[in-house]
Amino acid sequence: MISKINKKGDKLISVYWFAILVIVAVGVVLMVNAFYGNPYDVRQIESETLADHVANCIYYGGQVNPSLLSADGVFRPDFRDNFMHMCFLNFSVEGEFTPVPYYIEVNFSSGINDFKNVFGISEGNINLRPDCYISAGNMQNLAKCTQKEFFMKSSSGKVYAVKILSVVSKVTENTNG
Amino acid sequence: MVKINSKAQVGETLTWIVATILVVVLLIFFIFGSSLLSGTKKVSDTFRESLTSGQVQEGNDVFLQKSLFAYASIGSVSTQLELDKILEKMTLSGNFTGDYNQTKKEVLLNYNLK
Repeated sequence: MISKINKKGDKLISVYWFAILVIVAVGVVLMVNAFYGNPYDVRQIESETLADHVANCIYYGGQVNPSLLSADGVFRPDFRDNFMHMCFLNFSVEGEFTPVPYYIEVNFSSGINDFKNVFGISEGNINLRPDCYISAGNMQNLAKCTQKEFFMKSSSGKVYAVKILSVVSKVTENTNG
Repeated sequence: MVKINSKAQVGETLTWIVATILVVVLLIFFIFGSSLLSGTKKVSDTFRESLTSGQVQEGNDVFLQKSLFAYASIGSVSTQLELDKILEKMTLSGNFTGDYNQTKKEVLLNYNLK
């Protein structure tokens, strides 16, 4: 009689352990899925890299890009026209109606304390620009911006302040939204 | 005898139920925690101090380096002083990352070697 009751109990315990095992396994799968299912957000570092790349294209090793400034210190409009090609950039996207997820803007002002623009370059999707000036609650769905400034000296001895604004959208690739 | 047995059975069942609840609650807690942690998966350019070597150049801000290179190559002393002040101010206001004096030292050294 006792051994019969024990057998029943053993069976019940085995079923219970199996159920717990399944619950824990499902939990582990859910945890891994929740953590690794979300993409890494690399937009901030991507926009910083883009700004670095453009800065290096304009001024590298103490030398201004010879295609940007003429010998007599005049900005060349053909650099602006061929900016993407000159700086080895490619913003093209797949699909006819897919908006470009990048925007880059470079402004040059002459002198150290002069804030008057003397030359400007902009490429990409200008509609992303307002995202840089919005402070909303859910910033995850806004494009990430990097605003940098540096000084360069031309071969003619003139100093220019260069302001770079780079914006990267790519919300779907970097978030769950 | 039968009465004592039933009491023990109730006690044992209660232990199992509590253990089960504990396992489920802990699982839910960890699932919630991992989903919260997954929201913070951001890659930035700042690394843990323990991961970076002290022997590596401290002034690694490209924009500050470029500005200091322009500063070093300016012929006029008054313009140089003015730019130095502006760059220092910009570093203090967070426009540049890294140590200003360290970067300046490194850039001037490189410039003189050039």
